Amino acid sequence: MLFNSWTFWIFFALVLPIYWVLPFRAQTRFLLAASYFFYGWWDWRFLTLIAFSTVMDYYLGNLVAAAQEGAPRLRYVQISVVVNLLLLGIFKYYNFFAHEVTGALNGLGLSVSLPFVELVLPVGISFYTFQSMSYVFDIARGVTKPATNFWNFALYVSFFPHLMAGPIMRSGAKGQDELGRGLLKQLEVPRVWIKGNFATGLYFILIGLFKKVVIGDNMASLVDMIFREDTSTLTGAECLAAIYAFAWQIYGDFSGYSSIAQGVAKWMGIDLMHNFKAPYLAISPSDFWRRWHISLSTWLRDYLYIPLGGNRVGEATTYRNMMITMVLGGLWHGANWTFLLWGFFHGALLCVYRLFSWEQSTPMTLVGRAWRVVLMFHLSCFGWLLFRAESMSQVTAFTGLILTDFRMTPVAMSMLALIAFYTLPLFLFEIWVDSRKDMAFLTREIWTKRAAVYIYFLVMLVFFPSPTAHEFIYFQF
Amino acid sequence: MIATAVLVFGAVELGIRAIEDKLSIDVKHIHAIPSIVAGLDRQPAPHVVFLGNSLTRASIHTEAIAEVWPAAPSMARIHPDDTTLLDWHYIYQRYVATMKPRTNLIVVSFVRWQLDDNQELHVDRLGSHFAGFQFAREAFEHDVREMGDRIEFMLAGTFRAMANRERVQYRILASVPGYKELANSVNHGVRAKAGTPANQSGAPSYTRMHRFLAAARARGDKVLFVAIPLPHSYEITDELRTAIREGGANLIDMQGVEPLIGQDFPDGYHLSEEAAPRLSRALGRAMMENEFVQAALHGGAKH
Repeated sequence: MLFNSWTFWIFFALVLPIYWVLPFRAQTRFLLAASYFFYGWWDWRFLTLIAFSTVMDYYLGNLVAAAQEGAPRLRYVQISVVVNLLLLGIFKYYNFFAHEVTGALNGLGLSVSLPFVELVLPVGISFYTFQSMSYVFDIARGVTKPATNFWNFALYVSFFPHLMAGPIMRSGAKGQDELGRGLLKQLEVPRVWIKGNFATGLYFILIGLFKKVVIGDNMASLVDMIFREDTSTLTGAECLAAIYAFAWQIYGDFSGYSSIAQGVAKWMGIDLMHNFKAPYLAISPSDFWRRWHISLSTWLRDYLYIPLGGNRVGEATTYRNMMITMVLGGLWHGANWTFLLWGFFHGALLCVYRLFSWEQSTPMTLVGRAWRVVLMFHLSCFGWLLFRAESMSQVTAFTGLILTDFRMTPVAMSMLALIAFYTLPLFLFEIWVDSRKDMAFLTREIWTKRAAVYIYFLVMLVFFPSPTAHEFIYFQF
Repeated sequence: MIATAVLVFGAVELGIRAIEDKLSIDVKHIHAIPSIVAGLDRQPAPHVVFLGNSLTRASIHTEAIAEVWPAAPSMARIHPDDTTLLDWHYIYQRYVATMKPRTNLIVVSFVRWQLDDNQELHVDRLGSHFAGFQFAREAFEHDVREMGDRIEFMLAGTFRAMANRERVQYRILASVPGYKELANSVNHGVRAKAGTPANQSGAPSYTRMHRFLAAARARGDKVLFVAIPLPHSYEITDELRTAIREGGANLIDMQGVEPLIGQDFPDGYHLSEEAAPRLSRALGRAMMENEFVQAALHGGAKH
């Protein structure tokens, strides 16, 4: 049941009115049932997995809260980490590691054959396990209390708008105000319909659908066309255009999902955090990570980078911590060397910018800001090549062509023109949004400006959907 | 604000209705189908309707057929672009089957696998132009099974903007240099990914053809399938031949009948203006000498 399918909207049209007529406690149970139905629509067998994770972390949270500080508390946290990562490991990483270990041992002359397992990756497993782990961590750190009852916690884990691809919502601990209102805290109090919720929700849904259906899916067709070609038939300009297209595909796809999730939740009186803030306007790597997949980057910062010591334990350790955080962040996306390299590349970027103090040189002029944006966009594009490539040889071939083959072919010209046609209006709109420092500022603008933007989104949605619908990329993570 | 958006969408809908025929010659042709059928109905029996897609438009010239066929029947062509058997099935039922109850010959021209069940559904066009609300029940029962597709079918049947959105998109994006070639590559990739019969395992099925032939039989019409040549020859499988025979239809394979070379296919697919009359005359001769065709036309005319 994808957000860009009619089935989802029929489901939501049935859920929403029932939800609002129910009393508070019944609302929670009803939403929980709807969320399990939503997840089970994809594959009901994995409902047991999400239920197991929920029950375990709920009781571990209570045990952590009741335990004395120190070793007893740490033991329960370790159980949560080990079991959650074991689940992730089995479904997501086992075959990768089995393959690599077998290869390494065989390379050493040891004839070993580890069994491979045919497993379907449960959709959203990386999102909900990280979310329920953060709940246990926050109780252990003493910055939040356990859920007031099991049903609230179960809904916190499985709340359907963000279940498949985030944002990874925090429970609502102290000191997390920058991440918006905690989801668990919101679920524990009665929801109130506030005037303006509909308009804000509609805005998020419309821009989310536009990003997914018009930008993400149309770019996907261009990307697939080039990435499936034999590289000997491509030129550098075609490769570069395909990488630009992928940069917009993954942004449109993922931020579109997050935006629709925000809008759908808003219509139920619940705020989800902003997961993206115009990331291609970033001027440096750390700025990029403050704008891209914010719920994951802040999760890694709070539960990995800072516990490792962050930047308080000397320069060398800071670089080490950055690299560990980003490489594991890459690995979070999937079991593949390309994801690891992508994480390594972003870690290295952060280190280099820190080493030369480029992060601190805040540009004052428009030109100074512009060239940093262009540079950062191209650096992130190289990262996207690592992310999208099917093999390292494809990365090498694309890079070689981009650096040596400057022929501008009709295919490259048309691709660049199409990328500009689809993405330039969104890019300009994001400059406008960024200048206001408010992701939903449009909902407070005069009606003529709102109408112009909404009509553009609607017209594009009606007339410019992709020839084929694609699943959301981040469902696989 | 929502009212403004609705008003604008209403204006867009009216605008599309006003310029629909100018969007493409294909839309114009689809809108002309009722008058084509009515025009043929006014001609003396027997009647032959050539049903197909752009290959039929490019390859089959009724004037050239009439040149070699003394006392040729009254003929008309219906050829919406990028259509396959399911579209023709609904075009037949919705438009051709409204002709006065005389026995007609329906000539379906095709290439490769256009007759099997694996062909892509064009839900928008089924809802708006081919099946419409009139045949929605049959379409929902057999062809348009997904809920999302059914909603799109209904929307396309109601709003011209939805029905013609692919064409609007194409007209606007065609202004991008090289777009046509790029779109062909993208579509090729999309189809390859979706899987065409060429790369699917197992024998193709022909349930849509059985339905089409059953509808024609129920009305007393005869069906002749004509395999149109392409630059590279293709196989007509035993399964297809059996399905045609069992459905009470007949087949003429025009591949190799008329010598054609690569230059006769300037875009690598459709026949040139010069080659098409040659093929049409060859088809006329083949139909004239075909016992099934003669029985269909003259046997039917006696009723």
